[in-house]
Amino acid sequence: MNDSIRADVPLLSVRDLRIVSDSGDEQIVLVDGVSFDVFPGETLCIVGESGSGKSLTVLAVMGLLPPALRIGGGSILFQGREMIGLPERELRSIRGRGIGMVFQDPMTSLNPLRRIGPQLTEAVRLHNPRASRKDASARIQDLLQQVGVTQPERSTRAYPHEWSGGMRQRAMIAMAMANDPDLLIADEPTTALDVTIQAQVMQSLARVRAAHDSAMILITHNLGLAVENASRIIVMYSGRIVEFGDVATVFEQPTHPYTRALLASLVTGGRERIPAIPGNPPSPRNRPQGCAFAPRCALHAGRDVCTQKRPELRPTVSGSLSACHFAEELLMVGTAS
Amino acid sequence: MSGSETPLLEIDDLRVQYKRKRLFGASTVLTAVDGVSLSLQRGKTLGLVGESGCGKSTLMRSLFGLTPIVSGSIKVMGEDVTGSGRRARRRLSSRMQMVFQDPYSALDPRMTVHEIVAEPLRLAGRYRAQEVTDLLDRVGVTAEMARRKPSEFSGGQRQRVGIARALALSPDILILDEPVSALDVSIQAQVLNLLADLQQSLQLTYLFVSHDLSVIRHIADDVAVMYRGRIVEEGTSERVFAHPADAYTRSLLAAIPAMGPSEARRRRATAAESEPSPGSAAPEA
Repeated sequence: MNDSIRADVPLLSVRDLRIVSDSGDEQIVLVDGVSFDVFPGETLCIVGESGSGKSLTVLAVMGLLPPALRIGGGSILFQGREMIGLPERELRSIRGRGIGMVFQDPMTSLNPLRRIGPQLTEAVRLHNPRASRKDASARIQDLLQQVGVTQPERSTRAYPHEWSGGMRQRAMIAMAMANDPDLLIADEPTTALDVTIQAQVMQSLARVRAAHDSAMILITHNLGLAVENASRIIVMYSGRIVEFGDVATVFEQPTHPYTRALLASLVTGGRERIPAIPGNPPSPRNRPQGCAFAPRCALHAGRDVCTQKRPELRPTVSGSLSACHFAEELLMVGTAS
Repeated sequence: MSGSETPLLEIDDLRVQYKRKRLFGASTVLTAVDGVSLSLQRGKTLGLVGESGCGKSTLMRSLFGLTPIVSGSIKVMGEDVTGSGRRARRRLSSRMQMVFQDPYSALDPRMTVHEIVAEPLRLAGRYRAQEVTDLLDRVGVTAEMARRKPSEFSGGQRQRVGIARALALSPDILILDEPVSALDVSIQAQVLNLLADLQQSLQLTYLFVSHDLSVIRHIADDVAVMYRGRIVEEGTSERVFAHPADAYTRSLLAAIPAMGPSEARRRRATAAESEPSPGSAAPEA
């Protein structure tokens, strides 16, 4: 680790990030005014439903937005360096060395026709050309051992389809960690895995991260996973941050009606009817004026300000940031069940 | 309910085997379902839990005659349908229907939603437009939306359409294969509530397959846990969740993510280190 990085200096600083899609004359805003910092060694979790913009946000950080989308404004500083507008060659060197990535489906990230060992070794050397094949291979074996792959030397002679989903995801974690990144981005890393394996993979991830002192952005729709792994949490809805705070505070005293409703609608196993959130998230093409959550919101109660004025993200007395005009009412009502 | 009533669906000692032919050497046999017995009572929900490769998908496909059954029997409303042919199968389709996990791939993208729900009625030769409208209304899809194609629908709306289609022939039994697993949290709750409402108003019987134990605990009256082709634990939902007798069930329960910060802290350290692997070639998709 670079000694000049102190714990209070953010590793990654995203400001007013805006991601747009230009289709014809129409400009669709998919991510709007997203700002956050990631500090060295911490785990920041981003939760939200599909279409909330959580994955696009981190794809933008890595410079991997799909061709149809572009960054429409804002700034992304990684270790003090502006990432937006950086040539592809430099971005590539930052990915892999500075930032490691683990995606949801490990099968699509591995070449099915090649043995696992050489693939991983090659990926390491791509970002670190000075490493000899032998060194790179030794590094991978070592990391695989760390993430819980037994007898890595023998098992990496297999092809990807011969490995289980959990094993493949461990391989991806080993690959992402190979060049000691300061930041690991994990987008739904365990969603495709069975429950018992999920827990093991998250443990492996935690172990290897602790050993390397890497920070992590964990993207998930699973609130349980967020609680177990993150220190701070961002809740996104329809392209914006609606709540941001310490995980424990957000869970115990949600300051946005969406967060509160999401927590209430979790299937916790009781037999009683689940208080579901009515309706669906709006399409980014016709987001309501004012607050995007207003049409589904129980707190809105027909008040004009909700449908007329877009709430800005602001501090509340609980310590969390909230983008709700009436966050204080929620705090007065008390904690969510 | 009296215990003497004939179960709606009764699976007895079912065994399904796949033979894997090798180019050279002996062929190997994989027993995907190994002596499974289950029974469903009218109006109740049986939750079937298990991880990928445990044989639960094979078991479901067996109910529709899609697997090589070696021994055992499947009875629907007392009638043995284990090896029945096409005609009997068609008759069966008005008693038992399936709802699939992925609402994105289960619906024909070229048809309108109305046509999708109408199709089973057309095939049965009793299509009436009003009936389709009523079915869609039941699951919360308006007549205006029914003119659109599924691509314009969200995941939750598509799953509603999948349910309406499954209900078209007024079956008694729904086989639900991970029906909410692909949906967002807030939408999962909507669909689970809808399934509970439909069960009550139509007296439906559910076989609800899921790997999500919180969902099973919420919806199921009885639970069966499947592991490596066998049922390792079975009982009322209450009993299985409160006092799991089997070691595998206990490890599954321990792996449910915690639902609050304090519970999470308590659990953070403890988790079993056992990755099940049901042979190298699981026959499931």
